[in-house]
Amino acid sequence: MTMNIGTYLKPASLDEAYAALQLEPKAKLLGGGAWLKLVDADLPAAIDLAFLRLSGIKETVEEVRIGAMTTLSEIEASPLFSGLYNGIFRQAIHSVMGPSVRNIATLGGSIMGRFGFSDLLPVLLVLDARLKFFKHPELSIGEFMEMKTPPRDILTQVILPKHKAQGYFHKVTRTALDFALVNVAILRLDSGYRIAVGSRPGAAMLCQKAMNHLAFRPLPDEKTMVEAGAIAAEECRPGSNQRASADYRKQLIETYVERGLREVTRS
Amino acid sequence: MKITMILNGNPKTFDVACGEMLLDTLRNHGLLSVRRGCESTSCGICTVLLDGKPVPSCSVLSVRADGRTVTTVEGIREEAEKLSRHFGEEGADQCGFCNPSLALAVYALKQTNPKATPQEIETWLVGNLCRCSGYQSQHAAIQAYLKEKS
Repeated sequence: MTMNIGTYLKPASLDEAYAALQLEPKAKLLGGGAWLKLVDADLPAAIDLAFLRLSGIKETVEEVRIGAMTTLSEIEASPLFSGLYNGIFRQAIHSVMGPSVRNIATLGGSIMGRFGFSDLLPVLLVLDARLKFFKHPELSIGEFMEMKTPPRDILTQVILPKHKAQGYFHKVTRTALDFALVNVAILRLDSGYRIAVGSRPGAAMLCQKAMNHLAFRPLPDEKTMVEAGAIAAEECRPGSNQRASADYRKQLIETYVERGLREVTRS
Repeated sequence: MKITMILNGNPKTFDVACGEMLLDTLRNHGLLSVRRGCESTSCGICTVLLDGKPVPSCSVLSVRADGRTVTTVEGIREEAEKLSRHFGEEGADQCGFCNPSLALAVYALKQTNPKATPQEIETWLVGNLCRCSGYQSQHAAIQAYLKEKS
């Protein structure tokens, strides 16, 4: 099925792409394109970012910098992520569809789409990823997810701090190709816990109240973990869609937050 | 728009609409082995190799194939026939609709991980749906194909 794209632009530089984006209010940026058909049937103008050399993974002592157009397959293949945070970033990427989709889907596209079904957003939230734009000041992923309208700018890089932390990620799904019924990510840092829930079915969010409940409790007891699960399930206001009811999602969130906390406190 | 790709080893120029998908460009030019399935990246039936990597051609804009290498099952005829023999021996062939996409995915696996374990084969093929085989006989055939000396 051919999409109705009015004008296709293939900018040769970020300056050119940014100028085109500001000039045409209805223009959309093309990332990997894996979910193009889910979003827009008609695009008055499309600005293709595929030729701007925005891909690649660089490591420094404290962080990992990933170009926004790096494909999920390229990230999955990087040895960097198998050990970091118990491998939860790699695990989340691996849970996205099959290899052929991961060969086209990009990290930047997965973020800028703010898709409710995203498996990556909960993990990026607990990792406190930072987003570098061409012009707009840097944003934390948490700030970005809370914005009503994302910046009309080009995401160029995603920065992941190299936390030494225990991580947990679980995608509740029936088959490998399903969108998640719910997905849960948890990170246990020296400074506390970070918990995020996605596929609520709305976009992923941090469970701030549940995180506060666990503050100053490096090793919470069983009762506290159960309470944190219930608080998380309440505060992320799960809804219903064709994949699961709100009540079912609530039970799943309670269960997997509890299980995740047990897992990250085990060692 | 005019695009040029190396299609199955030969340079080919196509005149495409800017919203045209690679699936349509290839099928419109007679490559009907590239099957139309879900058209939403979910079934894997439209898989082709873009620069040697499997991609869902239903979701790749043709303009993005400009200057790149595209391979359909016609471009790996010899390897596809070898795999097909194993499919026959294992009784893995049923309607055959998914065979071209499966052959391309398995060929790509052979290039990157020729000693793939059964678990790795399973993981590699999660995006390639088959609605009639039940997968077991296909997996046995793929294992036999990977063990075969080139």
